[in-house]
Amino acid sequence: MKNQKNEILVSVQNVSKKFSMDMKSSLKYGALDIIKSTLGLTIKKDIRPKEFWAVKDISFELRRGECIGLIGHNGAGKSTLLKVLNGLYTPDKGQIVMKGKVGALIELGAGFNPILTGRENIYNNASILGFTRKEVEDKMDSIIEFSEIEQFIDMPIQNYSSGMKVRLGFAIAAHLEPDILIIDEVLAVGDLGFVLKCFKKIDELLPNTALIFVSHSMPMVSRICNQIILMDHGMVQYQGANISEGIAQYYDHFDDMTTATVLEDSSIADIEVNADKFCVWGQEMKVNLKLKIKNLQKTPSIYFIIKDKEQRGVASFICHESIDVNNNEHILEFNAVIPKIELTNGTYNVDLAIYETLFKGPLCRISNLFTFSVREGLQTWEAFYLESKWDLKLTDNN
Amino acid sequence: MKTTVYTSDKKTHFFQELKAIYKDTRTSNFLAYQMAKRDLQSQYRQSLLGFFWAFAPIITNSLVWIFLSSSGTVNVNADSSIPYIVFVVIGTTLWSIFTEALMIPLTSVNGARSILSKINFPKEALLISGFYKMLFNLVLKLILIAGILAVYGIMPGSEVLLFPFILAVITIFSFSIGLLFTPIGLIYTDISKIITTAISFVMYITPVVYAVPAHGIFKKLFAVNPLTYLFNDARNSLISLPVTHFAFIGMVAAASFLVMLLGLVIFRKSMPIIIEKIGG
Repeated sequence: MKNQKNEILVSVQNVSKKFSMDMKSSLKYGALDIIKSTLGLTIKKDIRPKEFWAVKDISFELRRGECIGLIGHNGAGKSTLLKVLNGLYTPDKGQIVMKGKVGALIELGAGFNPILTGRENIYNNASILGFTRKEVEDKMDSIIEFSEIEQFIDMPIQNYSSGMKVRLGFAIAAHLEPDILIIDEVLAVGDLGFVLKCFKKIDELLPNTALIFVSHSMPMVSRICNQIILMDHGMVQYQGANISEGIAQYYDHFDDMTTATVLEDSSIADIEVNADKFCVWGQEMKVNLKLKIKNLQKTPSIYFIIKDKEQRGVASFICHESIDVNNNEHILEFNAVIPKIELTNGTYNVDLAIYETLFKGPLCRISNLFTFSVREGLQTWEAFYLESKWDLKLTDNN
Repeated sequence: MKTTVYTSDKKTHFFQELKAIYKDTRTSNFLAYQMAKRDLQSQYRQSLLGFFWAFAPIITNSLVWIFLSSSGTVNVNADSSIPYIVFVVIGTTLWSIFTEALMIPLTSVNGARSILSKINFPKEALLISGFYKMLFNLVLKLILIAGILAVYGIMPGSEVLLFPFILAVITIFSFSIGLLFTPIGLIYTDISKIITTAISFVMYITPVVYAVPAHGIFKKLFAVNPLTYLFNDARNSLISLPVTHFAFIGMVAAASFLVMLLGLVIFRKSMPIIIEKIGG
């Protein structure tokens, strides 16, 4: 096995695939192509009227133990590329060489019949995935155990929840032992426990497998991929080993972060914020907030939430100061200084929440109040690049 | 290690494809068996009357003709050597086998539409599983024929040994025609509509519910229809009458087999195009 570690299992050279815009021309071209291929005529590979390139000029190589992530917005051509790789569609240009057994998780539980029991459907799905009868029989117990639905295994699967079907589907597929594994956003349905289990299984498979992974979940992509292709309109927008760079470019597609007031109260008005647009990593950041208050006993609590592009709250800063104002009308000004920004490079959105006292009596909530970017730090997927002190020693045994 | 190459200009000749088909057919037998089992199991699990439905169309069609004939509404010229009921039941059963085999490729592939574009499996398995399902129904239908022969006390002679062969020729003839129009039929639904319409006419120029007319234009139509000889001889072999067109049937068998090989290659080459157009 060791000497096989570095062999190239997947080699994709300048692969393109075209699609038709509408059904009518699609069927017409399909029928024509069938007649041509029957008569042994060559089929023209260029664009005909009403056709477009769904995938254009993609090349990559993948070795055993490597994982490539395909990311991009909906309709960027990821799934089409997967289907070409899996041999479901023939490429219109270019060439693909796949070595070894291919397992494709484009849909889990293919071939399930709702009326039949879970156990019977294991046979159905496994046979479609390419198991032999003996393999199914040998792995039956292990599949049922992995799916964690022993007590329902003899129930018709029409009574299963979608999560249970995915569990059963993945349990079968996980026993494939493929050389090349293709995964298309199929793990999203299960609960957290099962998703973690799936990833554990993928980690187990990865050393002996070349993995092609399509996902919209950047944490998953950054966790397992060591190459990334960002696709846009069928073409490569970014390709390389710098996962964070690819993910950052992916996020740049979705720059529509408009301010939205989620909750309002008459006691707060005229909110105005002034904050640094750009911060340098390791340096301070200043935020100035002005607002009008009335009918409040004390000045309210201010709670800022810093979110990354994935809308994941990564940090907060809170004003704990409070002054008695006895229901009078005032203009309040807050000046916050964060002495050291240790966030990694990137753009962050900030939400504002105002409470009478912290987490009690919400008065106001504004999403994406302002945006800032961090520079000159480190571009990594993680939210923080912490300043740290190190002590390096060499200890010899003798 | 198995290496697969997908490329835009794949050049393979006929015999390479045949070899690949042979290989895939062998490895996909378990899949085909499993798919047939799944479909039959689910079909019968949701049914109270079960096997009755395999006979029902044959029985109703036979009853219609028995009624038309005995009421004198239609004057059918059946063979006088056997009771009309036996004639009709055998004819209708053979006809239902013929039409079922004709539609195997189209029905099987259409039934698997949802997985075609998701998983890459040998598509020949779909054809074989369709064949298995047909064989299952065939056994039930043969029981019906055996029953009707027993009721009328007709004891088949040694000619009955030819019956399985003629039956096989009927199915392979029908299957290979069905296979030829399947690729285009999967793309345009018109094809299957044309076939079902045409086939209901062909029934009347085939000795299904009445024998070949003695004269007139219909006699000529019957004469050019190869099914006439297949059906007559199949029926004759069951009721101890001489099988008269054995050489012709042998030729049909050979021709059908060649057409089937051609159909399989066309089917295999066009599947990627079809999946792209119809796979959901």
